[in-house]
Amino acid sequence: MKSNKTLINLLNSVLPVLLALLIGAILILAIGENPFEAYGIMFGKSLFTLRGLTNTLHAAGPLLLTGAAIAITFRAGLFNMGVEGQLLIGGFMAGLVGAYLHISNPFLHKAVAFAVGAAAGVLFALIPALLRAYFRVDEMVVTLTLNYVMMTILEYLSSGPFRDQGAGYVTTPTIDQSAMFTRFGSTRLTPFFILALLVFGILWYLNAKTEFGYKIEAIGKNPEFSEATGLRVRRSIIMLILVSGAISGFAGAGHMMSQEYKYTLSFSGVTGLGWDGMLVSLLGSHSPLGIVISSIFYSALKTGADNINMYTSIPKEIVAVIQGIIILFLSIRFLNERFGLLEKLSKKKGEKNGPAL
Amino acid sequence: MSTILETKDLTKKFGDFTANDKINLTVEEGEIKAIVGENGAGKSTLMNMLYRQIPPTSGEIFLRGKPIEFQSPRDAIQHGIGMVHQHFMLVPSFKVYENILLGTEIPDAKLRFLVDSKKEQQECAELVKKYGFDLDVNEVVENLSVGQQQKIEILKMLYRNVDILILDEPTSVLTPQEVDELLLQLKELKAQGKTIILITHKLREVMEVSDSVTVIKKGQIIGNVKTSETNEAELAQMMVGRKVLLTVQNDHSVQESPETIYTVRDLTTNNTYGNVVVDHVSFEIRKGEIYGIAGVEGNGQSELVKLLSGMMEATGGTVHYKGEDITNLWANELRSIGIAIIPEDRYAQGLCKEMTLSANSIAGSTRSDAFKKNGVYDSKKIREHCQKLIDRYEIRIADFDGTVSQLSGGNAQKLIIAREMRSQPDFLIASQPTRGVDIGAIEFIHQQILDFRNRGGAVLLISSELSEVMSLSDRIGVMYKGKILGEVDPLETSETQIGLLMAGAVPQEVV
Amino acid sequence: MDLLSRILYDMVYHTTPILLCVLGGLFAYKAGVLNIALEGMMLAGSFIAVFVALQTQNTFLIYLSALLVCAVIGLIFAYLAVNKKGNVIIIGLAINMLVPAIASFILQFMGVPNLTAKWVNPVNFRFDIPLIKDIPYLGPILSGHPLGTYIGLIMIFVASVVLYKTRFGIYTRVIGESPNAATSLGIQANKYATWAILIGALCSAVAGLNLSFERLGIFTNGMTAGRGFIAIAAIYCGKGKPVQSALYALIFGLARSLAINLSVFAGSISALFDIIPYLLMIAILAVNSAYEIRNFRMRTYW
Repeated sequence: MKSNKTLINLLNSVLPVLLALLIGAILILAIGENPFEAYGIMFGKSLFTLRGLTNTLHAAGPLLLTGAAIAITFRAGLFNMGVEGQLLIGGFMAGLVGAYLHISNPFLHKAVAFAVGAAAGVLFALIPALLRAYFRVDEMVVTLTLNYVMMTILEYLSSGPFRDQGAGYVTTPTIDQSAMFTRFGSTRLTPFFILALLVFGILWYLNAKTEFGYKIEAIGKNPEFSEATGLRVRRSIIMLILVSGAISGFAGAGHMMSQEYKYTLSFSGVTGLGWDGMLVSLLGSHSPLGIVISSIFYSALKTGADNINMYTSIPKEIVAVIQGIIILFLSIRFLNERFGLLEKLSKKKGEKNGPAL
Repeated sequence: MSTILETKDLTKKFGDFTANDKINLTVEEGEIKAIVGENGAGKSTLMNMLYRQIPPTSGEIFLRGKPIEFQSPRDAIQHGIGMVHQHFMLVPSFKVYENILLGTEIPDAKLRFLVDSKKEQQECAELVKKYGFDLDVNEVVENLSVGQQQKIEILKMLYRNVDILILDEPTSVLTPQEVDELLLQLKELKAQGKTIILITHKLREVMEVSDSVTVIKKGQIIGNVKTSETNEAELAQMMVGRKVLLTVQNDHSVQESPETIYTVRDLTTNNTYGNVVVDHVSFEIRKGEIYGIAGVEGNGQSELVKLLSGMMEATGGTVHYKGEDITNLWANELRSIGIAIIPEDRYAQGLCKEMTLSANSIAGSTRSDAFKKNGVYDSKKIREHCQKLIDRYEIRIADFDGTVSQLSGGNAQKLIIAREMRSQPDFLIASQPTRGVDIGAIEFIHQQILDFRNRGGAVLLISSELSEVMSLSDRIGVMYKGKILGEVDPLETSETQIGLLMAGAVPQEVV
Repeated sequence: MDLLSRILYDMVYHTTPILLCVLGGLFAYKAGVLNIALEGMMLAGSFIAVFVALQTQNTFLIYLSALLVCAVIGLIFAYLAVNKKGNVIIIGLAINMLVPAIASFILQFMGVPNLTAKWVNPVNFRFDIPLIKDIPYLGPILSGHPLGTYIGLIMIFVASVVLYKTRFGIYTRVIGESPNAATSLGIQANKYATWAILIGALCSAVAGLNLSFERLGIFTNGMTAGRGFIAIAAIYCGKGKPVQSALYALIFGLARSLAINLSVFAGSISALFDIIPYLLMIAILAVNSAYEIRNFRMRTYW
């Protein structure tokens, strides 16, 4: 019974992906390319070579964190859509610390950058958190709009006051060597990936073993019950949105110090790491293990897309299209416990095996 | 008389659960048929099938001897079957006439796509007059009392010319006076040739108004009797399957200590619209005493409980517990000083349906060290705790690792009581403790409350079941429009006297 | 034109796409379906309009195709949200992500940064209204706008009548406010919810058309820039009542008009003026909400 349920959950995540890949394939066909070849390159180069696999893991680091940031609030019934903006400000601030604060100790420099990045995420998240908790303003609408505000502000800052005058495009100065994570060997992997895993692990533990997790579950499933049994919903909502902001800011800082090294207008990539986090969280049905798997899967899709650009004429925006379709299909449950296709299948199987047993 | 409605082997299954099992019901034309049974016996399911709110799994329905197959409630109405639901199906922001005509709007004579609201108002006013209801058709529904809203529901069906009117637990939200008025109206409708099916678990009303009674238990019909040939005790026995005590054994003899433990002074608050809903409420409760609050629902009891349980903020007044000011404390703070709370709505505030039994069993004491090892949760300890509660309170469960949604109303309530009593409180706030609970569990819960009182605990009991308040309480405050209108001794007061207070009649003398 | 009447004209001009989204979106709001996909639908309208304008100069075809595509998106939204009971917020976000993704996929494939229909001269799409244009002061503000603006203004009246005086409007409000009442009387909630969503989609299409085709003849990705969310905020603030919600849309239009007209005097910092409408929107939401809960004594914050 229980394994049946897990299987259904699994299928509910896998089917949207397959369908999205199918629609993506039709799109690739439509522009006169071979989808098998495209997907072959995509996943072959991102999962089945050492170089590809490490690239994929490297890119999965921030996704793991933004996925967790989304999952924490989603599970509590809050829609913190500001993860993207919080990540941007976190990354930007870490970039400033990295470039303008010359701390020679690499540990300290990174620690300060992380702290400032996370703090920036928290401060930015404070606006929707307080508005939500004290004025009952819909946090989703607020965070969605604040993303635009943040993008505009950062665009102004990076093209005006903090622009690297020497560069031919809009960017902040490159961060100091002491703020850069060093890569493992010839791979792109840096200690930041380990750090991301560690932070993720701590969150997982807190979620499973302390009142933190109980609060998230209870508030998400029944806020009135939570208040009535003394969980202090208002405080908890503020706390959760701020934690989410801190993780996002931290992820941005890590992305800055392990990958980008400077803030450009495409800091967060084609689809946006915050939005990627939403897909990762949804695809992993907000569960810790699910988020780990889906962040690696999605990271593979993204790194694969970079290769697609190199070897075929398919625009790498195909990933964004596939991402959108996956999320669209994830909004509904293809199968449910009672009337599942699966039950019909297992029933048939049962009939076959029935008499023999 | 001829048979107007008949069912043959009507069955409804929800998954593996059989809610109605081969029901063969016969209703005569022009009679008032009462259908009685405990909560969860399947009365509402049966009616919802007749009204085609839900499709039957198997079986047939005959109307005037002809088999019918409705596709929707609309079909049922067109064939003359109407239903007044227990929870009203009204649109609060709409006016009375708009609600009555909902779904059968009158189009404008010239511009057919527009609605002719003038004509609508006229027709509704005529309808109200014809049946002698006292209603302003231009009033907005959310401003009306529950009793008036019920009238709209009935009018809605009468406008559609139904012959058979099904009423699902119509009296549970009414004052005794309003109940009498409704019963009179039903007799009036019967005189005009309507057939009425009355679903209820209140036997007094059955005896007073019905012609015949069908008793349902566990999804099956276990008896059809003429009202004139039976009595309340017999019906009760049929419903439960054993002899029941219709009143609890309360000797009221326990010595009350003079020590006041809980004092409420001039407590006041307002609702979202800024209207005062709890208005300078004052009372005190002594150790070893049950203080009951009676009143028709919607007179501020619900808000009072929320104020006292930390769910709502007071705008004025104080609450003292054991000499300490506890006004506006939060729920977690109230629990930590020994106040237990059985909330009004068990699935909204008491339990979380989608969480496991054990997670629910630690609600309210999630920080307690009893459930931790090395500072973090120890699932073994939590499970043991939950098992203990289940054993001690004989909570019937199907799956220990499942969610609370598996529990019946009575067992869910027991889980709440078990959890709240665990911390050995001195004061208990019990709001609607037996609502929607079967008779067996009612007895158990009442006994728990009395035992708690007998051990020296103080209880605040809020219930809209007058008989419950009367039989358990040592003193009763009657609430009307946010005020406590009077305080009475249940042993020296009749139900009629309290009923008058509940309807807002100022008492001659306050006991 | 002097500065003041320029600001007021621009106010009406910049209100148009938001107004259209508001008036279309409030039907879904009243039906109890939160349609945050207005943003994506509007972008789809913008894209398709210019995309088709590259192939043909037939204005009718351009309008028709934008409406059709948005209707299809609306139907997808409705199918997933209403028939399959999916999470509307996720569906909305997915559409908001999918539309720009497909647009940039096509742009990349065509190898262009944006779409420009060179034949489109915005001046040709501005119409003067015979009588109104001669009214002193008001004339130059209300007249000389593209078709979309007039559709928006007329829609205020149409939406009010439809919502309160027709069966469709009444049932739409019923299924949003008390779905049980609707089903108990046999009102098909799904049907009305679907139509309500569809109206929003069609109005977004007109809004998108206005934004890209009527105004500029150019499509750039992301050109809707959150106007759909501002529209949702306006609907929230106006509680879905057509006139009130339209007034909020006008306030945002004014903020944008001020930001643009005054930026001339502000130098480089004027780049930040763009955020004024957004911040204003959040402030209005907060004030609105604070006012609404001023009497709220319940300790429930969800």
